[in-house]
Amino acid sequence: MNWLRSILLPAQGTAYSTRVDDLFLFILLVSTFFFLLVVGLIFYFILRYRRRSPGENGTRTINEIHVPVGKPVKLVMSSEDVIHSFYVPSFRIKADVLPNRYTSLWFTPTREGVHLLECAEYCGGGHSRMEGKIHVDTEAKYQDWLENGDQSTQAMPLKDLGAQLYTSRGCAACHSLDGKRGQGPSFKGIWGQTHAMASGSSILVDENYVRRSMLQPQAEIRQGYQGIMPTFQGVLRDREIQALIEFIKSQQ
Amino acid sequence: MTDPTASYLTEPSGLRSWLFTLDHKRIGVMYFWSTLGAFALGGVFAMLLRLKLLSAGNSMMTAETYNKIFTLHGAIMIFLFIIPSIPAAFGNFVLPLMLGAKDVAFPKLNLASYYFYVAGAMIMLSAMLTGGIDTGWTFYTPYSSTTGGSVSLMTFGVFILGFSSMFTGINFIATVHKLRAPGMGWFQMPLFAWGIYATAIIQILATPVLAITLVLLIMERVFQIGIFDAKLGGDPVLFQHFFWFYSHPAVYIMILPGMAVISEVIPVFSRKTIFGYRAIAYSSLAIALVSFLVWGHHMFTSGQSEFAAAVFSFLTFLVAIPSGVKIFNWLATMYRGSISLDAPMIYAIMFLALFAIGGLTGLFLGALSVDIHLHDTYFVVAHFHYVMMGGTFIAYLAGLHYWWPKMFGRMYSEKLARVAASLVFIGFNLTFLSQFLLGSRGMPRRYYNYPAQFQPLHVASTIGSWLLALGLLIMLGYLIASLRRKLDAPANPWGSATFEWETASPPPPGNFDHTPEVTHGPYDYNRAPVHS
Repeated sequence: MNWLRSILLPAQGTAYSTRVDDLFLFILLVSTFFFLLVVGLIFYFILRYRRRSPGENGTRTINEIHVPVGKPVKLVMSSEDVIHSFYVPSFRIKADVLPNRYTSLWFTPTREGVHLLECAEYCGGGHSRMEGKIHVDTEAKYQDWLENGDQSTQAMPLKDLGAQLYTSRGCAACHSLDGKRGQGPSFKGIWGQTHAMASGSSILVDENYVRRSMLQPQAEIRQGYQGIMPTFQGVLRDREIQALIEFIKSQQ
Repeated sequence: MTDPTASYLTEPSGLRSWLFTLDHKRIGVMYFWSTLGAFALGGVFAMLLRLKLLSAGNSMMTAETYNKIFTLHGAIMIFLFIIPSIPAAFGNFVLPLMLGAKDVAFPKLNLASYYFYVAGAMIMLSAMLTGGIDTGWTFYTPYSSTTGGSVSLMTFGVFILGFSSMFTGINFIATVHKLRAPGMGWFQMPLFAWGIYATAIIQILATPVLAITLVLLIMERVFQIGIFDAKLGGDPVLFQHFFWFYSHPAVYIMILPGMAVISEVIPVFSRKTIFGYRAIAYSSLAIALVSFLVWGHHMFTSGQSEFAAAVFSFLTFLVAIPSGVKIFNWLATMYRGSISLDAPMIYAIMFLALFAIGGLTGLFLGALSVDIHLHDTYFVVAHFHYVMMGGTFIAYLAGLHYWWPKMFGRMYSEKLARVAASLVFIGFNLTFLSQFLLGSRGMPRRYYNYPAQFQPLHVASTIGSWLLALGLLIMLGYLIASLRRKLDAPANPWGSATFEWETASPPPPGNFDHTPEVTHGPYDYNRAPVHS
């Protein structure tokens, strides 16, 4: 990180300045993380909760943001469809989220616990369903969440967690469960089969192959399919990968 | 004119004589019943919304229906009721009489304005029946350029209504300039005329901007020309700038006529000349002027620059000055007066209290950091209902009770009027005070569903709306009942000193049997002749 330090800050003249700089960089790191997290979440919210057909009775899913207490957090936000507004009453903050530019806001949460997150700019049929939670955690709890994810999912059996991830991570868009061919092969009955690959080799669909397909999808492409799957490296935790493997196993 | 003492209501007779009338009084009365009908429709929608909000969860109607209903409630109340109500109904009826004129300057334009209103209303009604619209009355893009429903038709209706509003404005400006009675200078005019004049200026300067904006929106929806939709290369916030450049001044199109009514009613029922005539007259113009410079305060969270937000915030606080001047002038008029609490005065006093709350809560919303928290919550909903309903609508009721004998020649039941006024006051405050609390605790507006913690306040608000509706129904009852009585109103039941009370109630078609002459000021009650 020394190169970053030398770009952003003057030379260090005291021992104290090292400590200040460490904090500075830490905050920078945290800010960058949330910067990315929120842009991701906003896009995710909007894609996931967009009304797709007029008759759909939108299921209410909990949208969550985790932040550590006492640390400044900056959100840089953009919308994929209409104008929304990011509103946390107990933080007294609000900023519109626009489709054609980035808007930002920052806050330093001082109170641990769960805070209500609402959309404050009228955005259509699902407006009042657009609510979520901001979890303000202690540093330790927050680090735990960063590493292990939600406690509620930790207790879940692997197969159930896999089923949940199958929809929430978007697998369902390309991999069907009923044998129908999509952008990618269906999961139905795929476990234990041997497939011909575009490279000419044949590979058995087992734990190792599935794991590698999630982390490095371009490594081996099945014959007759396009290599369009994005990598989930850094997105899925180990336990989540196991959960998806169990889920695919169960699709016979 | 065969009989100069006949009333305009019956002379000439027949449906055609009404439909093609050029008489400002008849056009005013037609506007009066039409806008009242619109109010009833918008009111029914409001009651449905409150009924749904009794409980959280999916009950009574779907979210889509709810969204359509709040859109229609807003659009009908704003475009079909508040904007035309006082200027087009009472202004048309009273303004020429007050100035001692026989009619407005352009009677045919006046009739055209009414038919544009009817046409706009019909188009809006057909938009409601063919799919409805769920954009909110503000039509914010890009939602409004992408959602289904009859948005184009609805905005076209509002576009047509804009012409009605502009025609009325042009007419009133010309009337005030050219048709004042001999001897009536600008500062001998009743303050109602000043208020209507200031309103007319905003109407003709701001309404074209809304018309252009709505045409652009229709072009985007129909021809896919990218103006506001980011997907087509447009800028959605541009719409907000255009929209509020009209719609903030439009807030003053709504409130200035209400203030104008209050400036008439308070001196009459205090039997005291108005305090600070020039200050009230000039403050109307000052409000009209500043109203063009504050539109950005609707957009503090929209991502506009912080510098712009600070300037808009400062200019917004300036509005408090002329508004405060008016409030204190009205209070000073009552000071050491001889106050009689007839129905018009009860509503005028109610206006002072409710408008003060509406105005003061505007300070919360003008202050930047506080507004960030309160923006788009029920606090805003409560604030503008205190200004629009507690202010303009209550002033409208004051004017209605004040001029009813002049318009229809009948007195109404004063006792029932007090019962109704009490219910309206209690119901209104219960409905909207609870909404201030909802808003400051974080309840966003336009929510079909809400977190359970907000339910008790929503229940209080809904119960308030029932009391309010009951009060208004009682009012409708005694007003309709009074129309069945014989003509019993004297020419000047309140002892007023302005010209409209020097002619019979209801006035003859030509207004005056003699050309009125200015022998005393509009508030010189000791020198005004008493006709009873």
